[in-house]
Amino acid sequence: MNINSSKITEGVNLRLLKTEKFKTNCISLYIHLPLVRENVTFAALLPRVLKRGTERYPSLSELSKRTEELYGAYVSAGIVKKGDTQSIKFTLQFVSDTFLSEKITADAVELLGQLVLFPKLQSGAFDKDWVNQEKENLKNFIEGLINDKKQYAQVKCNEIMFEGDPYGIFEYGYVEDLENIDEKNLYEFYQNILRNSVIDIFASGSFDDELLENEIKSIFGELPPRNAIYTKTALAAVEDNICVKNVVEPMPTSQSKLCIGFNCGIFPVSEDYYNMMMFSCIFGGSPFSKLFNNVREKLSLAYYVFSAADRQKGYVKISAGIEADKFEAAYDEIMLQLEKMKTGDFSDDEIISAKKYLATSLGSAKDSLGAIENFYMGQIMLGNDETIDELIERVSKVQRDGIIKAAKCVQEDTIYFLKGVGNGEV
Amino acid sequence: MKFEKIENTMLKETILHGVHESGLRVYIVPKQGFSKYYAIYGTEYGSIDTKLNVPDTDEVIELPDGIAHFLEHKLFEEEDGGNAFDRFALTGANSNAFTSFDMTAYLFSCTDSFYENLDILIDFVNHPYFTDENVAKEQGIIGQEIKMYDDDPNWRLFFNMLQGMYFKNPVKTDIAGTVESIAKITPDLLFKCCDAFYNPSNMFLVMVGDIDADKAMAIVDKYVTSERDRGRIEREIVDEPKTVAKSVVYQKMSVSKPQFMIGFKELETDITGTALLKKQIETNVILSILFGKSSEFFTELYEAGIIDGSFSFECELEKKYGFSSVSGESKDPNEVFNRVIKRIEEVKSKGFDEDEISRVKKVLIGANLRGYNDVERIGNNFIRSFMSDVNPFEYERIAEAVEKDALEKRLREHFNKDAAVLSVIEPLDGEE
Repeated sequence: MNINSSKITEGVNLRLLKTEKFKTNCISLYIHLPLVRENVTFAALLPRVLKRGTERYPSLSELSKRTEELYGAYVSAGIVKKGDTQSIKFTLQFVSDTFLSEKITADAVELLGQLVLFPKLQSGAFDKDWVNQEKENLKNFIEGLINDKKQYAQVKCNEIMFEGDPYGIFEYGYVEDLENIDEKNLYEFYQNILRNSVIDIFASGSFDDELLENEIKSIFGELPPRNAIYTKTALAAVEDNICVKNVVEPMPTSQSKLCIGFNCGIFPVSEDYYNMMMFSCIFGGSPFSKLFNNVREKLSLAYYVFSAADRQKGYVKISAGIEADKFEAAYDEIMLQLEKMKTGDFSDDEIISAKKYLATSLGSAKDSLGAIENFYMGQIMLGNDETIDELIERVSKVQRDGIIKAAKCVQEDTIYFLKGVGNGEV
Repeated sequence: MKFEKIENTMLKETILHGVHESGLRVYIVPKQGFSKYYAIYGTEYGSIDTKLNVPDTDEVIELPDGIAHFLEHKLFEEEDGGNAFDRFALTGANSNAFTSFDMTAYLFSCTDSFYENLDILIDFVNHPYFTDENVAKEQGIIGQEIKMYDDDPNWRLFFNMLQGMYFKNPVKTDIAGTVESIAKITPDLLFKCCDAFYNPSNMFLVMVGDIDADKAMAIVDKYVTSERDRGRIEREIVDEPKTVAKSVVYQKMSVSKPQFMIGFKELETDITGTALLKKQIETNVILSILFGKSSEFFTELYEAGIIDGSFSFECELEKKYGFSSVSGESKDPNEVFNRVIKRIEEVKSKGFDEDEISRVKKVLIGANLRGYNDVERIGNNFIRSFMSDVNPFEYERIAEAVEKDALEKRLREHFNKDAAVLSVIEPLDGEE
């Protein structure tokens, strides 16, 4: 796959990726921001307000009618966190002109332009009622994190592990920060980031490049040039004399959740990273992994248990759903399996399986416009031009000693245990 | 085996289908240019099958709740102590399985070695291996799965709604059963269920990708024979009352805000094919017009802070059960319920608007096209359609042909207060 990158203006990039096999096209616009506490809640609130309506489609109902006319174009606006970057992301997915009796690509670009550049304003600020309603909705959303205990536990573990680090900031913001936001300062914030942040427009699917490029440039060409660069993520470095943070939070649920965070400080664009992918896959990142086969299959301690390596931040997390009184048993087994990884106690079959598993998962990304975009935006932000096929190729060359090396650089940092008390029902 | 071909020139898609000598129905959806291949192999057997009429005998066995799902887990087990996941691991496939109300399916996706993976799939599903020991072990794992779902407010909301909705229909029972019910499962029962429900006439195989039919069928021939054929297992007609068992169901859980689901019970079941597809499409059109983001209903409730972005609706109309539902978060679920009923009554008296109908048709046509972007989605949608004798290529034609009168008739039939249930999950005392 070939990405054709060009500049709309300094700091505003257009990425075009042509592929003919899908029935839809996808265009996304990213505004990249460094994760900082002062801004995080502003940024999280913004897409919620912007998707309420625009100058030309000045209500939720008008905007929705427009998307319906475009054969149910799927519009979303939200937040993505990659390493220490918080991006505001607008996406439009719509049926490719090839399958319709009318052409809608230009209309889709127009709609994206409306959402990003022409918000509905009231005396030089956002609509006051909308901002207040969306503040309430965001507050409910943040408070609603508790409804999904698995995700809640992962977020808590992350906050504890990265306390004082940008990565520890919850990308959906903080309830207590909402009270200082109003329609005026939110609009000023938006004007500021629209003028000064790195922006990427990523379009993929089957379309006439020249036509699409002109369409996008005619609408977004009015953005001013800016001197902006992608945020560099500080890696989760291995620390000397680490004191493992251990937090237990009781909660009235029937299942308990265990999360463990490990530093590894591996550079995302390095051979060490490919080793790390292989390590995590064998350790807990696959249905044949050591954690799955032992914690779940052999000891029946969990229904789900997995590890995942984060490329941008360079850390590994483990997540498991267990019985409240099985903490010791599950924890000990997880650490025992980690020890086996460090001493090279894994078979050649496990290495072969991991290579094939990763080849399948990575290769499958090529069958989804969303996954393609996500992969390549990640690469672009890392300044890496490696394709999916090249990544598969590199992973396939990883050797046993590389995997052991990766296992050995893993350092336990945080244990978070959401401990179920009572049976969850009243 | 001979395949017949159905084409849809508008979608630029094709289906090859045929019946294997064993009774197994086989479908191939050729897809070029994709990295992935997908196969899904399923039986028309799910949690609603609570009785087993042992084939060729008069014996009827009452099955413990959750046995279909339990069997799904157990089929992966193999004689040598390993499991099918390990075999798929060596070929690099992503394999999985699921059990729903009315089917159990085994599947894999891969970017390489399709026929080798197909061999593993057809082999393990046809080779049950159950022992007292491996059954006991699974009771622990599934016990954890059940507990995970017990903590999931959406899952509870949904099953509480079904329990309010139905008197007899077994769809109201949790798919995984309970810790107590699965304790009654034995290897002997599992073997019996396997023999009956996993017989070729009760099963479907759908393959999506750049597939050679002859090579695929040679693998089917190896493991699926007519000796295993016990005929299609017919389900009894449930004599389900037209009203609901309980119109309101509440539960308290650790959540931040009340969650609601309002369900409407389908009163006419046991229909299939085009009639079923038409009913699904009409119901979706109605739901979109009544409650979609462009509706007055949505705007009013959203701006009043009664509902938020989590608000959604869906309909699940199948052969043996059916309902439609709207759900979300709200500080006042009773108010949402009253407004939903009010909205329905208003539209019943004033009728639908032609502009709205044509806009919603476009949305459905777009969504249908989008469904062909993904080989897994194609496989999953198709196997469900084929089990109900639905030809998925008819979707667009039926959607285009939807008429105002039919919609108004359907609205009066299906959306009634007498057949409605309000399910609510409330925060624990002191948490709100």
